Amino acid sequence: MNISDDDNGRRRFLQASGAVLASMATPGSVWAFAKIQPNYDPLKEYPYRSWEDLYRKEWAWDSVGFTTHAIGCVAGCAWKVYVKNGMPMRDEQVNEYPQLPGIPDMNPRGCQKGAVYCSWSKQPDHLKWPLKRVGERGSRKWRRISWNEALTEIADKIIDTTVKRGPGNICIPKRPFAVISSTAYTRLANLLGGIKPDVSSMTGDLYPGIHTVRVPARTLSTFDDWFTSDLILMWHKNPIVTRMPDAHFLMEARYNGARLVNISCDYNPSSIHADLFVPVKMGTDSYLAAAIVNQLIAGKHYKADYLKEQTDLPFLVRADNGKFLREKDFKADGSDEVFYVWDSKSGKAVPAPGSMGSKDKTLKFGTVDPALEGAFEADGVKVTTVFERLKAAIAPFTPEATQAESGVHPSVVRQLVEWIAKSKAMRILDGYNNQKHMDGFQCGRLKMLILTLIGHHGTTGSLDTTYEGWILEGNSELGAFKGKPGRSVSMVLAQWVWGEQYRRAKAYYDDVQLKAMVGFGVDDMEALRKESEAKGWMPKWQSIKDPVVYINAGINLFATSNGYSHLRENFLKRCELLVNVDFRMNSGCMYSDIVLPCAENIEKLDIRETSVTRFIHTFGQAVKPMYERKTDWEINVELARKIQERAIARSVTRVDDPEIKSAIDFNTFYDDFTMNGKIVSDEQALRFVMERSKALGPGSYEEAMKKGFVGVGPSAGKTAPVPKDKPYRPFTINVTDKIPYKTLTGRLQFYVDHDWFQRFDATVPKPQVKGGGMLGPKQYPFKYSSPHTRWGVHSFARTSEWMLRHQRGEPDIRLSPKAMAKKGIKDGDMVRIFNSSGEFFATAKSWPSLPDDVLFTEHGWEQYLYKNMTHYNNVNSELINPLELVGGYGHIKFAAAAFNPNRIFYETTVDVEKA
Amino acid sequence: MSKRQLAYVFDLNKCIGCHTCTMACKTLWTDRGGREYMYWNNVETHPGRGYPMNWQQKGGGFKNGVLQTDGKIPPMEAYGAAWKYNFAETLLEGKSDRVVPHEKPTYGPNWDEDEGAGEFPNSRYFYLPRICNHCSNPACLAACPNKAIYKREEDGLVVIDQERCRGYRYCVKACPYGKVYFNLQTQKSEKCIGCYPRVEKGEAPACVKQCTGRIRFWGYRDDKNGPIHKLVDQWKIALPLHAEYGTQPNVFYVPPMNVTPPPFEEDGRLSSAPRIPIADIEALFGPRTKEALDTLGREMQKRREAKPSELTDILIGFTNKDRYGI
Repeated sequence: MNISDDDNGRRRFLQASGAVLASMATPGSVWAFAKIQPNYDPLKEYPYRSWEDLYRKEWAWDSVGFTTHAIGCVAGCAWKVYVKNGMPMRDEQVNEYPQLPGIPDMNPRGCQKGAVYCSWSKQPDHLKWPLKRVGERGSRKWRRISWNEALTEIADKIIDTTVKRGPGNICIPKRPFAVISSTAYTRLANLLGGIKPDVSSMTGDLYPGIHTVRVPARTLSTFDDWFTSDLILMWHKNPIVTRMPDAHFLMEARYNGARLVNISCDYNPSSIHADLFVPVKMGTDSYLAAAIVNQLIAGKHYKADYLKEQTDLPFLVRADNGKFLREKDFKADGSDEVFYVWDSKSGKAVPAPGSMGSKDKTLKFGTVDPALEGAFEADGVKVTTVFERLKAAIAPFTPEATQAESGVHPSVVRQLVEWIAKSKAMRILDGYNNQKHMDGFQCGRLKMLILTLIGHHGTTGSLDTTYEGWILEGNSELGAFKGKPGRSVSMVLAQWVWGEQYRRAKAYYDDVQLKAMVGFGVDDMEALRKESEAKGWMPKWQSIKDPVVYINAGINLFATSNGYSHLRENFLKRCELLVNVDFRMNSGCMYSDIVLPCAENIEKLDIRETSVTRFIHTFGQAVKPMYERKTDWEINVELARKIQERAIARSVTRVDDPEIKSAIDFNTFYDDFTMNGKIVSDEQALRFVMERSKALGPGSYEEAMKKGFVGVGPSAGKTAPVPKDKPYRPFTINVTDKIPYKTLTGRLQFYVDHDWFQRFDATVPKPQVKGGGMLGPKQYPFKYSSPHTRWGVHSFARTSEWMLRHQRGEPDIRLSPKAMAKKGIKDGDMVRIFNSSGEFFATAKSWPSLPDDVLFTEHGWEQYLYKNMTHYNNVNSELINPLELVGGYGHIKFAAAAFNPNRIFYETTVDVEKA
Repeated sequence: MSKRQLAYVFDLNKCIGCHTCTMACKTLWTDRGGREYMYWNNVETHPGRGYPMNWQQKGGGFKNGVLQTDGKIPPMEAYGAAWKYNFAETLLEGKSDRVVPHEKPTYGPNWDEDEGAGEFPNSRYFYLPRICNHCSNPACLAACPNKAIYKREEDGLVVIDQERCRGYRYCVKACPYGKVYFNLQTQKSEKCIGCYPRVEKGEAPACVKQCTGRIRFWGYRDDKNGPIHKLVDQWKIALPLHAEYGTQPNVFYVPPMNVTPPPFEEDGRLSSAPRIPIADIEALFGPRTKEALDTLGREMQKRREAKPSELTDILIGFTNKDRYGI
């Protein structure tokens, strides 16, 4: 099954195919042959069946191991790997998950990408040994080097940089997709005082708006919980493309009585199985959401008791300055984190329990009955409720008034609202696209409000973002080192500075248009960023450090960001040693100074933890790393060993790091990394994680290796226990046990009285972009949409030849037939997509399911597949929403993977022409 | 007739077009040995030209019980080649400026992906997964002058004897579904074998067992307790594709619901017209389509009203053994 053998066969095929057709013209002689055929009826019997062994022999193997293919994917699926003659031959799902009572089981998890993994791993783009560049960066000319040579050069550069430039000029981003593989780099970064960028903000995967309402924003039910819903809104989520292993739960929920609604700017593959498709104009979802909220309130389709207890909607707000009424308003030494509600029974303002400043850690009001509506006077201060302010703010956004912005007819909004109002168990599947728009921050809050108004959040429903992850204490312990916290940054801000995205945004966007639509321009964003850093809200490392040594673990550098060529050029100026660790030569690796080959999925000993199922999945090392690949854990251990060795040889000991009150101990680096030899091997590290995590514990390692997966215990859930016999659903204990939320007010918080929220008129959820629509310059007629693809997980599997053969074989863009006709473009033509920021080339494909003003491409294409080494993100230009720079306000403060500026690049507009 | 017949039901309302079935089959049987261009299992977007291109116009099958000899052999361009890429040259040797296919792709197994027909927001498409139908009256079998194609008597799977096949390709011409391929390396015709080596060990075919959308039901047609009998014969909601070809397929389809999601009037309000004209679906599954969809709609409405439905429970297929087994 060596695919390189195919060449001969293919060539013969091509030569022969013409001849084949010709030979069919004269069948007469064949019929003559038929006369002497044996006498039997092949419909009933066949005398020569011994040949059947031919295919039987092809279904054979020597051993079977386990793996998962969740690199870049949140799904988590148990796969078997069939091994023959030492070679991994084929993947097939394990298919043995247990069933929960009354719920369809999860068999078989997986997708087409996982199914071809073994084949993909044998392609020449997969790395075999360490490489060092011998030409210019990006020239793709390499010299094979030994691990010793590679690690020595890296270790020396790390030591030199730290000693000469000071700590914090080493940056180590990594993908969190296998536990010890990923945490190895966290441990390395912490020990080095290195910069740890938030990869989620980099990829635009944060939900900062939702974070202001609940913490964590990024959480969800296990996907089997979809089956319990009677109404599911897929809101810019396309699960049929992006959540393949779980998409069946949608169709099965539908068979179980649920209605499916797809809200999207295109008629995508998830729309086709929906009961209602809502064609919202790109980037205007907050108007649709506001219209829904408007109608829920107008029709009194809200659950007052639930809102009084679970939300800040009854909290009192001062009429004079729009601030929450706080304890410090009454007492000089009062807390500014204690808030008030109006007790309808006693007719006075009383403190609400459960807030960050409150001593009562409960949501229970006892005998107090908080008023949801009304205007009051508390000790001479005029106040009203958050709900009153919300009602006033949302009143103008009727279905009729919002149609111009959202493009959704009022009758469609009303149909949807009718279903929402009647629903007993509603769920919103919130995709990644919305918050890549400026509109997304407020839209996230509005979506939360929809689910909350009807009382389904934490009860019968959920707003499912992406996975948050199970609690694995052992993993936290593995990454942490006492007194060495490392340096976290927002990757969006880091690239805004290092990649000069600021300069790019300024050149591209029209400030007059921006100011008219959102009230601030690009220069304001830059000023606000600096102000945020000066105030200590967002980390400042990008402004005072450089990525001199950049060890990039598994991220497709530049591809996951914006302005590919621009970013690369500017970023590389600041980087003296770029190391990429990957199992294949992705586009970012091309620019490396050193490339290190890490183990393939099927060669790893590790686990994948995602909370979309209750199972932890096993990388069971079906085969040992082939060629000179090493596992990520081993690479880090070896690098740590080399750092210590070189430091001792060079008499370097400790380098103080006063900025973070820490130090780098080079001469004990390996001892520290390995806990004095306790966690040297992959198995030791993995057992450390599993056995020290309450939700797994002793015995879980063995079980995972035996079955390919292992279930988590109840303590794995961050916002609720994982029940034994039911799907996991987040935030249920806040409702059942009245436990406060981790927000400033302790409730689902819809009012933010931070100065900047007041300044940008965003204290309550409501549309932020005036007029709706795109912020990109109007001279470019197409909105540019680049969502996830079914043919890859980001760039993972994107170069698989079997995947490429199921597309057009090279990068494509899609346009509606009308748009193509207008531009004189035919299906299959090479076209140039451009704006003032850049260009790329691709073949055009007709897609009748697109509006005429959207240019669509699926993301994840490798740069090297494009003509002239261009790239689909060459045209993107990004913006910062100042609301996402806020800090110093209870739960609204910098937190990696939770709250910092999300990458907003879906405002880009482009034009296209035949190339 | 064979003693027993294995049969399949594919529920198109569950199909997500993920092609996991295709890759399951590909990596098991057709990634080598001259089979690379073949997709014994493929998934195509409908409306669309399908795979091989325009197979619905290729001819073959039976008319009034008579084997048609007008069937065509699809040219290589109708399949598309298994093109390869210059990865090493570009990425490791720096000798080329772009990773490209070795020949310009002009067609492939999924060329018309998601295209369908109509105009946004009223466009329409669905996914049609296809394998050999393991017909009860196979045109390929009838056409083989050498009697090298037979139905296995124990399970009714239609297979081509790779020793006795002479490579005449009458079977390729005769199959109206375009599901017999010619292997230029071995000079024999080849096709889906129903994964008989697995079946013999009690294992479901790879495309069935690995179907992550859980759309595939599989078992013996005569198993009264199995899902095939219930969906095909009892509930009558699973129909053969192009029954008029006369081959008596043993793959049945639950047709796609055509009324949802509702399309829109010119001004954006919801229309009461169906999203997909029923005639489009009847063209594939025949005159019983509407009855099947009505039954399905009625049973789904029961569940919305929290009443029990045996049919929707079958289609949900809670566990593996609810969906397939022998």
